[in-house]
Amino acid sequence: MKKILLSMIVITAAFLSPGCKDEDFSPKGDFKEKYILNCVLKSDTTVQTLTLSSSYNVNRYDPLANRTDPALRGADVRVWVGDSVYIFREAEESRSDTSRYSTPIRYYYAKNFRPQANKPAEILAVLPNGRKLHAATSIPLPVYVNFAEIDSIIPIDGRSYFRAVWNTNSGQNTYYYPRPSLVYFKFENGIPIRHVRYLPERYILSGGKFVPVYPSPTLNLVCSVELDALNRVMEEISAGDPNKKNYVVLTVIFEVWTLDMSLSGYYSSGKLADDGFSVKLDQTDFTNVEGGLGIFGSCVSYQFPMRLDKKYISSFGYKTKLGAE
Amino acid sequence: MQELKLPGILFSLLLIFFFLPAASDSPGIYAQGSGNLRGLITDSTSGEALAYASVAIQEISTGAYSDSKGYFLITSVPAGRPLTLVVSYMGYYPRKMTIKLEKGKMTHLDIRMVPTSVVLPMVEKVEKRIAEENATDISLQRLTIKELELLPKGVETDIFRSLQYLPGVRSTGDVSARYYIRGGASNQNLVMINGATIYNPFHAFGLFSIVDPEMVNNIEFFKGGFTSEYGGRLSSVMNIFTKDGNKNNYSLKAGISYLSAKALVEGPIPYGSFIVTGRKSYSSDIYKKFLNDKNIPLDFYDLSFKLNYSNPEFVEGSKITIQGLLSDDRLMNGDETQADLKWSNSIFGFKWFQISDSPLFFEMGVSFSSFLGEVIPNYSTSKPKKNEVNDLNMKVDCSYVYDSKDELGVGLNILRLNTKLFLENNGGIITDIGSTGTNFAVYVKYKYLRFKNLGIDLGTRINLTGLSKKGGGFLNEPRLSFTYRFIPEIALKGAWGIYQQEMTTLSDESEVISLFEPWIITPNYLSPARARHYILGLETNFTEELSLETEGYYKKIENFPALNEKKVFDSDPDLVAGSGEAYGLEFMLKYKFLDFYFMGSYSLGWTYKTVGDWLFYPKYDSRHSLNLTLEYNFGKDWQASVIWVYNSGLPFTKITGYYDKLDAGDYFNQFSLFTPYQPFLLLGDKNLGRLPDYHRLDISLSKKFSIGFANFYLDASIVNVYDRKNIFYFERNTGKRVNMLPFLPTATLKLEI
Repeated sequence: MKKILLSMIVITAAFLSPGCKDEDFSPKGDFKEKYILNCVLKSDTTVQTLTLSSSYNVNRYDPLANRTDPALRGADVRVWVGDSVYIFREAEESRSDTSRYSTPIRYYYAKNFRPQANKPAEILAVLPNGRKLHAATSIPLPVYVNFAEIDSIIPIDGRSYFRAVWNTNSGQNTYYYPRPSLVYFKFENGIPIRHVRYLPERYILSGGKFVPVYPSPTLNLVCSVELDALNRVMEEISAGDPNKKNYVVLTVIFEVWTLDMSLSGYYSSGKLADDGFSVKLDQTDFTNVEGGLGIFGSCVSYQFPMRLDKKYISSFGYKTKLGAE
Repeated sequence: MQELKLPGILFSLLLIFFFLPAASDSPGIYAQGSGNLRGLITDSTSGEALAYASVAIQEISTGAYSDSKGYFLITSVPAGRPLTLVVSYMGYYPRKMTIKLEKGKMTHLDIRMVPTSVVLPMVEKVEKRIAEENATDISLQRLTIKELELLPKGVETDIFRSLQYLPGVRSTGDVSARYYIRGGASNQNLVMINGATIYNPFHAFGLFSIVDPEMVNNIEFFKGGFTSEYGGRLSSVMNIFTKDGNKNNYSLKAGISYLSAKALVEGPIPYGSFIVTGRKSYSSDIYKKFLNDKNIPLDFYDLSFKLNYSNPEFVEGSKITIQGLLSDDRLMNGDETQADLKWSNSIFGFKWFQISDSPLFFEMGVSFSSFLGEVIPNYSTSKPKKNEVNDLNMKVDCSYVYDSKDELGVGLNILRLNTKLFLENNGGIITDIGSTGTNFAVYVKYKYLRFKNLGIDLGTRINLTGLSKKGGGFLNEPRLSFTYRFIPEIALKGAWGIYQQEMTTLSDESEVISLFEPWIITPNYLSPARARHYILGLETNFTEELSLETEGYYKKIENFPALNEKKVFDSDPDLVAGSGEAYGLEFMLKYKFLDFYFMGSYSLGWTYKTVGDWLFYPKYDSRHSLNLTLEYNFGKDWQASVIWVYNSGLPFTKITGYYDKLDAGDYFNQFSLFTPYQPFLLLGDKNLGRLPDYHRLDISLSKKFSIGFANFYLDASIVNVYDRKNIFYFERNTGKRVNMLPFLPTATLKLEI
């Protein structure tokens, strides 16, 4: 009896112990407003854009609960490249995805501004409250190609891929972003319309479906594309259309972007290795913006064609030139 | 034996320094009119060695503990007259026998203890006190077979988890059996099985250890201040000694839990015995309880074996053992968009233990331990990683016991280590950042035990060559530990030492769950990590039933390799040197009365780390820790235990806001600044916040019963009886709170034939 009583006391005490509920605990500290500037100067356009925003807080912990666009207006933004200064103006653009923010996208732009390679660039944004965000970078040199090193024709007999190789005068830790694309025309109402279809490196099987894997920025000076990926794209451009002669496939264009050191660092630091089970709580955040967060960077591009074998194009039923063959 | 008063301690220290050579050269093995007594204490049913049994000779109030192999040695025992030897051990009937030693000779006794299921009154207390009077054992915990059998079973019985009930041992959650000792990182703990290093002693993300408790004979666990025969780690040493196997009968045991099924076979062989045990997971459902309902396709097994051979016709007094431990874990998703992982350990060892007619113990061992860990990224965003560790280790240990009871220990340790760590940089280039090195270390220690109320263990470990570039060159690691017993009830204990570590894992302490923790030798651009331990304690035996151990410690660590959080480019170093300190107080209260056993432990500690410009609390810094254990033997093979654990909150970094961060990957997909944004956390100062306190109550009930020739052992447990919502972490991006183990009833069944 004594033993039974003892057991009952222990178990009852255990069940009556406190702490069965989530206690009132918040992982949040005091909110501190910070300002974010994002600007990437690109060499393929004369219109440069940037965004300015502030940090925000939410009642609980889900940041997606914030539905107020944190974009900042009324800032004075200038960019210096060499001896030239460019003043950015405010603009708006309608938002296609309004699931989070319903207001238009607010940004700043400068026209007639094509960044020149190998020049220093500096940005200063003075916010309406007087806070200043400053950053500097150096616009990189584009890559160059030795055409003797790249594949002379696609496909090459006996090889299951084609590749492009480029050279650089930039230092180590520079990222390059290759974007191979297929250029083709489709006759619509008798008029040839130009199309560009970006090529994946390969397709992988996921959930029973083939999913394209596109190239991402890399430190390498080479990019390979599996022939199987090109074959799939060649088939997909006219999928469901029995009139294959309506299509003219011309060439593969390889576009290689060189990222400056700031943008390379920003990209590199964001490449988290996610194994799906590791849980990392603290996150490192790269920025080159003094007085705030974000990135001021630049990138320049270089394009070169890679010839497609006419027999290969014809094997899909496509034409190889716009005029009569 | 004489007693030494406090003022004599300094003199004794000087004595050791200046007269050690003289003691070593002492010509006479035996004092006049005396002999030496050596014994081997074993279980009468299985022949298994019983470690840490207490032995006392009543008439002369002297005694000893058996060592991890079951041996004890008492020198200078009066010869030619009958003496009463009392041997006692928890869970066994005490044995009292009359002995008569021959003058100038070594007398060897094989003492077989008969087990009992009845909890006996503490008849061994007197012997125990005699045996441990001057033992230099501060910060040393020993777990015996019987104590291991009483461990709470939970989901899977685990020796590592049970250590977390000791003061000064911390974990960061229910999910991992990884432990942190007195402010040291988990990679600063040395784990060995019969002296062979285990590099990754965990299954399943660290949920369980790879050592099957059924295989374990005893555990020696230093929380700090470890003596000079151990090296290579900064914080703690755990040496797991496995069973030899039943020397009398063949036996089969099989068990099943929620997670795994296992079997053990043991039995005699000519001049020896063998034991083989294997464990295999059969269900991964239980992982959901640990990991936020995630489906984890994890599969593991482990296999251990040991053979021992002791043939007096081959070499008298020798014992040869061959051991092995293989473990393998695989996490295979079966989806090309997700990474797969696998890791394995392979450990093999050979040992030669030799006794002789002189009071000399000699042991030579060679072991090979390899670890392989691999991340196979398939087409996920993970990068391929592969870690290989190959450890070839040779150890020689000799100890000699003088008539005065002083002991001299010398040994050498040659460790040839090869590590490979293949990492792919962002350019897709795979490089190996591993290296190869040899640590040639010698140690010497002198245990000054001639006064029955004073014990001093003074030694040093000298690294003639180091694993890393800056680790050798006769780097010295001096060690000292002592015990001074003022009065029979109170002893002052202390330890001091310098410790060096030349290996590290590339582990990210901000990860609450990490799957890949590769080992490498400290890179050449860093100096080896060094630690200093200062420990002082008081052992108080209020009554025969009630004891209190109090220890204070201070630990200073320099040059520990920390992950470079400012690494941006592949060319930046992976590791930077950090420093740290930890200090605290620990209390352990034990009370035994009839069928009750109570243990309460409390620790108060502070831990700081400095990396770069940041001084912060590491993630395992808990100010208060309290563990209360109550065990009760109902009789008739019924046993119950209740354990309540309390830990004050662990540090974390507070969220100070959010911003929409330009996602670099998405930016290049879209080449537009307008949409590729993801919410990103703004964090406050590192680890300045504290999670809520952790507490949990577990109860378990065990019953042994027999059906025919088979014995069954049923263990039922309830983990987290009152379903405390102990927070594990907050998902940063969603704010979802992830809790640790909920109310979880479990059961294991074991069959023994």
